[in-house]
Amino acid sequence: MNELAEPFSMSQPAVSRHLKVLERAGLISSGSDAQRRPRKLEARPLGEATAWLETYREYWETSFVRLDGLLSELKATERKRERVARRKR
Amino acid sequence: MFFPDSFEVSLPSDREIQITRDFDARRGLVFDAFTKPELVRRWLLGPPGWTMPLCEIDLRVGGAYRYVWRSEKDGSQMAVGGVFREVTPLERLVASEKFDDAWYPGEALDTTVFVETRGITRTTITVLYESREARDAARRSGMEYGMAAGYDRLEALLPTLTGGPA
Repeated sequence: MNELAEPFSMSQPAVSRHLKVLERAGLISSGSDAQRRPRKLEARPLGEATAWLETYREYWETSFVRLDGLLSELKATERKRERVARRKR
Repeated sequence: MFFPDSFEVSLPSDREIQITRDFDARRGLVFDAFTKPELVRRWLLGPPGWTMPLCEIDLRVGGAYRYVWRSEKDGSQMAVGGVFREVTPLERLVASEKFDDAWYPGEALDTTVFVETRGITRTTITVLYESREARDAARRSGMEYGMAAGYDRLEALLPTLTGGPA
């Protein structure tokens, strides 16, 4: 705990609260030996979260690029219609 | 001009997912592209290899919408629907969201906001789930469906993200 708290300008109880939150979320686990309770980073859920976000991103990104294309087509159609309307006036 | 760099996915709270993107078009066009079925069907196609055989939108408060996607590869289907709670033309849409296969408990609430600045329209979609558990379940199922775009790539990537002692 002391080691984990060292790099932060945070009180030990505050660090301890943060650790509890991380542990509840399954992102770290704590082991125990006689003197210390070493924390271990659980990379799998973190990796899953990152990977999920990445997939979700890609899904929307692909759709939005298609939407960009559609919008420029709609703008072109609109301009054409305006030109025709102007000519008719 | 396109603005792919403006694209952002974030988790503003425990129960939300938010997507933001700028489009080089006036708000009216973007709003149409999100609310007219014949336009929605041209871009909201799902993952590569999927099509959108059904897209119905009754754009008024209390009106329903329904989207169905189908995988051309194996014929599997995915469908979502809901009811509009708020319709402010050109500005704001609020609608419930429920997938047929109900991967997550309850309904989600989608809020879509369109803000135009000098001909550029920033679109923000916020999905609010009933609980954090529901959001995370939706996230996990998103993984299962693969949202398929990068699924294979994802699998290749996962070991590098999760592997090895921490």
